[in-house]
Amino acid sequence: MGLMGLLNKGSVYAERLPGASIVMAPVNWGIDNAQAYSMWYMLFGLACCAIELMATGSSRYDFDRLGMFYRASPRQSDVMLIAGTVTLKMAPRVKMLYEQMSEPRFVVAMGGCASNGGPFYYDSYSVLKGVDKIIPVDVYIAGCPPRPEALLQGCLAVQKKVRTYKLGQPRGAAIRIGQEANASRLALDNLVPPRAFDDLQILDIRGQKHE
Amino acid sequence: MPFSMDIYAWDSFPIDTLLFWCFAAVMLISGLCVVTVKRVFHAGIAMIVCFVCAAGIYALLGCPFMAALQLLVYVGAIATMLLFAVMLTDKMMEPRPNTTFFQPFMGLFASVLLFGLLWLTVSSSKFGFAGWANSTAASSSAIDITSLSTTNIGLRLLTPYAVPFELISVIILATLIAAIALARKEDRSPADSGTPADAPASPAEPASTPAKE
Amino acid sequence: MLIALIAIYAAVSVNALFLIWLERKISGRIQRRQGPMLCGPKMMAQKSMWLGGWFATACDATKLIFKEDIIPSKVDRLGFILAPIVVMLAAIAVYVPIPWSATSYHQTEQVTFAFADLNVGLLYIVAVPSLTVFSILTAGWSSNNKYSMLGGFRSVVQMLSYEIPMVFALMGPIILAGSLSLGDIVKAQTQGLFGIPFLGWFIIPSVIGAAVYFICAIAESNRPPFDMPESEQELGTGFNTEYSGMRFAMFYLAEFSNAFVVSSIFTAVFLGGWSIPGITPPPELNLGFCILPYFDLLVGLVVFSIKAYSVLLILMWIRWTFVRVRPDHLMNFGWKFLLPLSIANVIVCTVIAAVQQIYYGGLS
Repeated sequence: MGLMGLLNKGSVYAERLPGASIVMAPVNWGIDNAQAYSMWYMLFGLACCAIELMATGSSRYDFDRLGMFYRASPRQSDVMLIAGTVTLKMAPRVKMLYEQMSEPRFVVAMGGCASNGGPFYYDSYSVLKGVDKIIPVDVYIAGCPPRPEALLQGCLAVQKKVRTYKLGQPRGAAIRIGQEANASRLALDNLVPPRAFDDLQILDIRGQKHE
Repeated sequence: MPFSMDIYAWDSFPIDTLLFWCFAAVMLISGLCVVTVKRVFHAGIAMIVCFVCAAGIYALLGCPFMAALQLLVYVGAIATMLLFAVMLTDKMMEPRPNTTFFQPFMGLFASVLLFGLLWLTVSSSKFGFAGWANSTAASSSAIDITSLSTTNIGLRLLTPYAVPFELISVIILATLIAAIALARKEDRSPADSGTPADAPASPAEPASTPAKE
Repeated sequence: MLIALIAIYAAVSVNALFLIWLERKISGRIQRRQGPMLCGPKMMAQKSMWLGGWFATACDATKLIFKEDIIPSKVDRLGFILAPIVVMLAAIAVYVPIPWSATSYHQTEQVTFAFADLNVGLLYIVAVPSLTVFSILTAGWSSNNKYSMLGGFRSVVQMLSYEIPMVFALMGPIILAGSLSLGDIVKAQTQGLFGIPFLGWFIIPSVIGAAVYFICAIAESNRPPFDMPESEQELGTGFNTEYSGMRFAMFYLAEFSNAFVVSSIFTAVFLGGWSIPGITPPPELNLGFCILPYFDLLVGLVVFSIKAYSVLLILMWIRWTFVRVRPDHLMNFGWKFLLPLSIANVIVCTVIAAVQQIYYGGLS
């Protein structure tokens, strides 16, 4: 505990020395980017958004390109994707899971239900009207459910937030990924070609080439 | 020279001796911890530390075979199974409840008795691996490293000591069979189980079930 | 000595980091994904998927160092703190007797290049992972979490049962080589079987033993398809559920370094280690010493790593191909199938060694 705490707070103390910021700037840049590129998300799905979450994690969209992969334990995960409707019965569990996560931790409210109660359950007696009533949310993603592209854009937004986040300081305002993200497939195409296996043919169920 | 008592020979740094004292000290402390700490689980951990130190001392004595076996059998199997059993008992997270007033004194008495017995045995017996050496009629009182090699141990076990070795294996086989017999689920005859569904079959069944067990 | 120790630690850590990257890339290739792409030079990532995301594991390690280190309030602190350290210690200690290469430069006979070529090397390699069993059990129990505890118990049951066929499978090479030292076992494999130099590798006389050892080694290192101790679905990563930050990283690195140890032992014991089949250089001739001193050492290192990484790739292939086995199937498989098979292998190897001894002179 002592060593780990020293390791974590070391940079904070080192920055107080005169002229240390020149040395610490590249170190901080490295640490920020390291944290941004290894956001392990929690294996946690609540409703139909979880299906889109699984689709994003699988071959076509591939979370692993961002360095994200699932951990089943909240202690080891960095980001919690609230994928689906949070019922009042589930809400204490969601809060408990958030409390079990280790700092720095981030929350993405995925879809309408997690953001504000949703398009279908807005008048339901048993649904929490937005997960930000119990835990702080960093990124809201619109959609019901959001397309995988929108979720990827939300994760890129989380990465942007991780890079500027400093431990113990208030985190900035929440980022909102709008409806237009769902329509456009802009998420990652500019950065990396989405498929490296153009030579592989996708065959449909009858064994013919997929158009 | 694996172990020398010449601790004052500073010209050649006595790393073996130093290691021996380290192992011995840790072994003694952890051995004390086994009987003094309040939590049974911590006592188990201390016992494993004790075993590991014993393995280290075997290695220092020039018998790495015994050291590896100590690790494999005592740490890997026996201590782990012991901890396993300790963990399955109830309320092991809490410290052990207070014992009665006389219990420490009784323990002290028993251990002093045991220590005296061991001391008598050790001081009255001759060391220097005479027992090993006599069988080849090459007796020497010093520790002969070559007689402790793995090949030698294997040869001794299978030539002069073959009968006790085989006897031990028979005993282990008997233990194994006994354990299987104890752990095996009994073939209950349908009459014992008493379920109505099995009842009609009961007159025909007992002939086929093994009655010997 | 200290430098060698530090070198062991550095090699274990760096190699484990590389292996995690490789595993993610290979899993991507098998599942028609790309694996990590963004954390690294983007120009290279656009060329090929194998050039992308080089810093993925470095990022993970850095992040885990700077993550909050949680010790839950109701854990058993001694066991909780001790367990990952002992796991990492055992993972490093196993590397000691592995024969990476051999050289005859300046010597009259080949000298094994290992940190210490113990004369009970094989036994040592079987014995040291028993510390891992103990510490995984401790980690699971002292977390005070029912999933962790179940994971720890499963791990102990699995590792103790698969240790027995593993030791029996390693008996075959011991009998054939007549030695417990890994360096001697590799040297025995350079001499050929029945006078034919190409049959020297012990995977040929003891093919059953090699298969049994391979399966048992996967089970010993808790890798899929034998990863019930840390099954994500039902146990929530099992014995390391409560571990976060650096302590979890120790378990994670130890797992991958154990995978490399397993493939190294398989290479040394069954695949002839640093030797090239059919080529048995006389010890007084240092191959190509006019080009470079210690030329044979370098060739041996390259050959060894090619073999070890090939075995490792098969391990990863198996990991991403097979589904997890059920605990009772695992027990049945280990005790009723692998154990008799490995004992049969001992008998076969004894017969082969006797024939070799009588008709072609001793191996050792």
